[in-house]
Amino acid sequence: MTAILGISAFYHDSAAALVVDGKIIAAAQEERFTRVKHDYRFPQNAVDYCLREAGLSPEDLDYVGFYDKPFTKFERLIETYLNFVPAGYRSFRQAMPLWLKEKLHLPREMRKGLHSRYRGRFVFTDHHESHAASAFFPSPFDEAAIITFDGVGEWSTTCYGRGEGNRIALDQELRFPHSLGLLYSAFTYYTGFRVNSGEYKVMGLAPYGRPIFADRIREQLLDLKEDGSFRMDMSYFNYCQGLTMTNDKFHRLFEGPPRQPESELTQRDMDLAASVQAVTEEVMLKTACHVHEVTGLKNLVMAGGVALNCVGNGVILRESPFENVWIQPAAGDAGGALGTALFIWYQLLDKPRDPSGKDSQRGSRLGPEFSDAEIAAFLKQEGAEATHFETDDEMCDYVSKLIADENVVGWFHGRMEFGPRALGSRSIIGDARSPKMQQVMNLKIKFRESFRPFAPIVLQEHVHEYFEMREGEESPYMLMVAPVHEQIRNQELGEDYEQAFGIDKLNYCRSSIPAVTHVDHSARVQTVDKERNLLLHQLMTKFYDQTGCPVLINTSFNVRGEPIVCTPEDAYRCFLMTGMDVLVLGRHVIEKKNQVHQIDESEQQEHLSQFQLD
Amino acid sequence: MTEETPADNTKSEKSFEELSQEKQIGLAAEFWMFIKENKIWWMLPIILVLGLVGVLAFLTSTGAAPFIYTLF
Repeated sequence: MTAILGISAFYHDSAAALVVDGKIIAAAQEERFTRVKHDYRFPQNAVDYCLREAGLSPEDLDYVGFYDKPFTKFERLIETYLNFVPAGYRSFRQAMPLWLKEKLHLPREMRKGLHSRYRGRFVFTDHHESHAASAFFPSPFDEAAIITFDGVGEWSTTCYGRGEGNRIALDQELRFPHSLGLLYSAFTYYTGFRVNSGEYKVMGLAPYGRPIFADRIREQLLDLKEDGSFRMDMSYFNYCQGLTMTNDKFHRLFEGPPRQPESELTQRDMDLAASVQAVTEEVMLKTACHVHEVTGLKNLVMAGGVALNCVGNGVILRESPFENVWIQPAAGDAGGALGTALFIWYQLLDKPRDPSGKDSQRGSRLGPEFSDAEIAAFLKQEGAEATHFETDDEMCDYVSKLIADENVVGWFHGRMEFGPRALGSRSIIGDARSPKMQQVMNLKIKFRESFRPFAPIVLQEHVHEYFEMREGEESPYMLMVAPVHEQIRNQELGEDYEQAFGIDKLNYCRSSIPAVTHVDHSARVQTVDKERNLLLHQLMTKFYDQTGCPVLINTSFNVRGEPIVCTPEDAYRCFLMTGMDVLVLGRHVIEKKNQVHQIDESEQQEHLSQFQLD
Repeated sequence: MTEETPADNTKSEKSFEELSQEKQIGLAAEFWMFIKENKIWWMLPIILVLGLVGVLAFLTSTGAAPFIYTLF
């Protein structure tokens, strides 16, 4: 037996992943355990969980890998500061103590985290190599082109290459400071959201705006070539030397200072979001087309933070010559932990790989699970009124009726997902046909901005009826955006809708599943199949039998700023503190109306205030 | 794309398994190898100065502080 632990930590989204004899046994992000979103600290809880899941102790580990090379990163930092002397002094002063005390001493830190019981050496793989490994090795392809789009690793910001059998090789790169991820983050900062966290809000905001600044971005900020490579005019940015992403020159170019966080969103913010999104899609598509031309391969795999831009991914799938695209569900830095472990197994130990046409990510359900007995004990301890069902069939029948009656349901079962998306193990689900559901869920359940869209889950066998996708086409990891099918769109929207501005568009019923149809008629589709998620498939089939609709809303089981729930306790707390109507924990169904303990507004506010906004 | 990435780093005279059994190299030795391998000699004085500042910062927070100040 060969056990390999992969670790990503000390920047953001720390995580651990365990691979035993090439099989992914467990993977989890530290934030789920500590309840601190994007937790950057050593993933102590995640490491302990992974070892527990496999029944191993640290001395049983054969290899431990870290997802990037700290010395090379340090070299990049020093060289960048030298280039900007003396402008970068404040940033330098803040960064150096951390590096000298902790980040340069990773073997010491990791050994400490493994309770000094791991005796071997540590392996440090390149940041983009880790991303590339996380994209290719679990993919269903024997051969594929690889693209990693990211903020920055050591020096690389975008790489491409190819994977074949048990080897990957990255041939070309774009280097810091020229970075698609950092360009997107600059606009995230400028539109008043948190960098490394609020990027998905910019993506969600984009369809409300018009890309009227896109030409300005192309002409002033970027020198974009036909192959997707580019140089940025760094006189507009401050991220190399300062503590902000953009500078006064950037603010003059876009005619105003950055939006203050939590202030009202204006049409201009939406137009800025639409503009950077349009340019990002253009860069992604050009890169993909070039990589196809160079490699001549029909399959593409992707990872890196920008590969979480599912709108851009959808553009690549529809408009590039690649026939098949697979994206690592944990495409951000957390996935690097998995990448480094798989890289050690396949590439460094030269073990054979047999993809057999199916991905080996196991539905990305790689985290902790809780038995019905554990859940029952917890509910008893809390004094919660719950109904226990003897079979999954009875439970699904009951819950599907509650959903059809417009109840919002917290759905908790099986192993927690690895990656930023809730894929039906830690989800809040609701009726996608309900016109009021988007606002109800945003304002009363998630306590987040009303513009935020929700994603649909659809029975895979019906995907082509509701979305412009091929019959039986898969999107099990919710990483693709596809247009809602023409035949279910509201044909009577007319000119009023076209002329409506921004968030006003939400007042129009856009399709027969309005809660999951974004204002540009797009949807971030997740297909549900029996193999990856049998119980959710069963629930949706019941719902379909009752209503004729194979689509539900699926959003992550958390409130705004909170990491997705991990334990029954987290789920029950979230259920009590929000306007959620029903909580399903395994085969236990808890209905809010039956609970003795009802939460007042001050308790709710106290709960919400502990989470930092992004 | 504009630049070639470094050569495949998995090739080594010793096998990966052999290397993994060796003792973990200390920070200073590893940094020296890093500088030598990548020929980034310009980093040497910076590392030395940063190291010195780090040592001084550490010492000033200990009982040795009065002796350090006399150096300046």
